[in-house]
Amino acid sequence: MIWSIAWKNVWRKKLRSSLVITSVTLGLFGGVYSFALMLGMVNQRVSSLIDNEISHIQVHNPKYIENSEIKHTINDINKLVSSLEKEKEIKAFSKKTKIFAMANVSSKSNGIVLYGIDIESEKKVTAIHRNIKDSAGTYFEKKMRNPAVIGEKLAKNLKLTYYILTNKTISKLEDLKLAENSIDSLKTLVDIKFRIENKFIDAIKNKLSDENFIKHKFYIVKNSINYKIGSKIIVTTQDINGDLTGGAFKLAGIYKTSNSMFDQTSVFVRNKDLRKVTGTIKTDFHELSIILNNIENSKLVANKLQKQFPELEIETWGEIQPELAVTNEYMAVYYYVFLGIILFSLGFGIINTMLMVVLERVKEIGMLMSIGMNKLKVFLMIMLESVFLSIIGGVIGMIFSGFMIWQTSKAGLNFTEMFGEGFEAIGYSAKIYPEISLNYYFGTVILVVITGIIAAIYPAIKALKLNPAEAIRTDM
Amino acid sequence: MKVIEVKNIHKIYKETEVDVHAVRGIDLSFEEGEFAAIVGPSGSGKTTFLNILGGLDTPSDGEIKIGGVDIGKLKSSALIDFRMNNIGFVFQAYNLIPVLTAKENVEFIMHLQGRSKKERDSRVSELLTAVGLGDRLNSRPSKLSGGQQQRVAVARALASKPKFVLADEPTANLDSKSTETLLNIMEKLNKEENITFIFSTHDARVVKKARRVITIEDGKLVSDI
Ligand SMILES: Nc1ncnc2c1ncn2[C@@H]1O[C@H](COP(=O)(O)OP(=O)(O)OP(=O)(O)O)[C@@H](O)[C@H]1O
Ligand SMILES: [Mg+2]
Repeated sequence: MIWSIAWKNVWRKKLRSSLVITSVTLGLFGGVYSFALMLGMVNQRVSSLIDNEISHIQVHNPKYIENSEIKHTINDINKLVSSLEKEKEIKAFSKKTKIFAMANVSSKSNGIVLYGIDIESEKKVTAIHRNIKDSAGTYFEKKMRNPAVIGEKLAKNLKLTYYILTNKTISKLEDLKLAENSIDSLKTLVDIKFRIENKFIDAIKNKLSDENFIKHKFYIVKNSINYKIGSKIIVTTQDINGDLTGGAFKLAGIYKTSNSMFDQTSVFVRNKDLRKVTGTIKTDFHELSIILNNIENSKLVANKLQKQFPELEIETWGEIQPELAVTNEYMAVYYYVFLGIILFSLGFGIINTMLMVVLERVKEIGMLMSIGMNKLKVFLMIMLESVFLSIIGGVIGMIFSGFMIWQTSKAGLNFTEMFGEGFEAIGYSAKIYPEISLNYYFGTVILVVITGIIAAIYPAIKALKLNPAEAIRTDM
Repeated sequence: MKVIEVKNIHKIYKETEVDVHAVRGIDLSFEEGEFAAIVGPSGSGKTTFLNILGGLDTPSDGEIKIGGVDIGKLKSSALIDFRMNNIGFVFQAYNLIPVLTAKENVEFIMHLQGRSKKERDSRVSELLTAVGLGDRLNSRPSKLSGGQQQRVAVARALASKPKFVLADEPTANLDSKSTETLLNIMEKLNKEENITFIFSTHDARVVKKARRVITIEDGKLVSDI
């Protein structure tokens, strides 16, 4: 009965209650959705790091970790490999040479990490081969001598790119409803080759209004970029004896991950080609990356291997990038702090409403207390009304957020044009797939209920302080 | 049998400027089955006295025994339960919970008492029929006239099977027709069911119906006929 009275009381002032409910709904939506974006972003970063860069488990010679010299290779690699092959939990592994080098193209140079890989095993372990850009070569598929696959950022740094505006790109802009005179002035740039990105951008800027430039710049640049596939890249490094050596590789493909730092430094070549440059032998490897059937077992498998091979350094992804391993916990803490702040402010709205409720109903509450409703029940009645207000808003807010998250998680939200470069410079993808797990839903609902309860306390105490005789006498 | 006995009741409202001595030493008792009116000019202390009789307010001095229980000795939570089980209240207005129907309003107090659904159902329709609202069980207060609302309040007051019903100016907001209907119903319940009614009023027609008329002036009992 108390529950039903409280529920019905919520709807006595429909407009006022709807406003409170709407504010809770919107507040939660704002909080939950923006958190889902952030969680999506962070989780994408984690999986991108694991997929492209670190895998689940890595094996090194401990000396290599301290001092990444070419001579610190993994001892007795064959014994390790035969052990790994027996381990059912291991899905794939890839042995590689990993050395520091300098890449030069004409006058440009860039420090790099050179990976000598076995293409087939590497494909099973990392996702780089899936991240080769369109019309940016292949992942070692075309026959050429000494092929190298490099990141987009490095390609730009080494000026292995050039820009040509094509009619095809312009016709797409026509579809995007760019004004005719702008199209015409852009057409004067068609088929002109620009070697430098900034010069190309400046040229476009001159042809377009500021507004159109900002709007279409990203699209035009993206579609005008070309790579000098087949160009020579000179690599200088140390050989196995510590002497300076070098070799020429040819640009075979360009990949792009969401981490431009990685893209700028990681260069992949075939191990057999690299061996010729460095003088390493077939059993010389610096790094062995492992992918498991289930990432959850990383610790288990790593421990097991570590026992078998005490002389090697065997690390899980969480040990290699400790900040990633605690990200999930951080995110949960972050979420609840964030939500707490939102609910704290919403709580004031509820307190305000409930105070009005109590003031409006002084006579009624006095009557209820007179006829025998005890304090606990009066308290409960007011608290339930407040909880109902908050929980209705909470449930609608969560359903709405859930719906929007689900809607946008399919295609993802593309922020590339707004701040793609900024995001990628710190390793985050600019295309975000919002996500949230069910745990957060339960936690949120509980917090919303607690907010309703806390918000009711002060108004309810006010109600309890009423003296029935006085309350009934009150003029309203 | 005496249902109420009050001895030397005083009530002083402590105000900042002057203390208001609203009740100045009233001794009275009520028997079961009485139909008594408390009259007196405005400000004479009727409401104050009724509130004290009903345990809604505490006297500054004196003793009230209801069914032999000294309610001055009850703790506030016990007093609330005592009111629920022993006293029926009808106020001048705001008697009903607006979001509940007539039936639910009457049922509410039995709910508080923890009575079974079966008992509630039968008693509620019995009472609402007795006050002539057997056909308005599911109407909300806002859909009832003032007189009908007061009749629901009477039914509600009786639902808890109290020892007596206190009504402070129950007809003050009613037109003469509704006043008569309400009074007739109260009178009938008093005669047929032996329900004790104590009510205050300004209205001469209401006073006429009373079998006992207690007059208070300036916080003192001036006549009791
Ligand atoms: N809460 C209070 N604080 C101070 N004085 C009060 C309070 N309640 C009543 N009084 C005073 O006590 C006196 C008696 O008031 P009370 O309401 O009991 O009279 P009444 O006979 O019921 O009057 P009416 O016929 O107008 O209802 C009045 O002078 C009133 O102003
Ligand atoms: Mg009065």
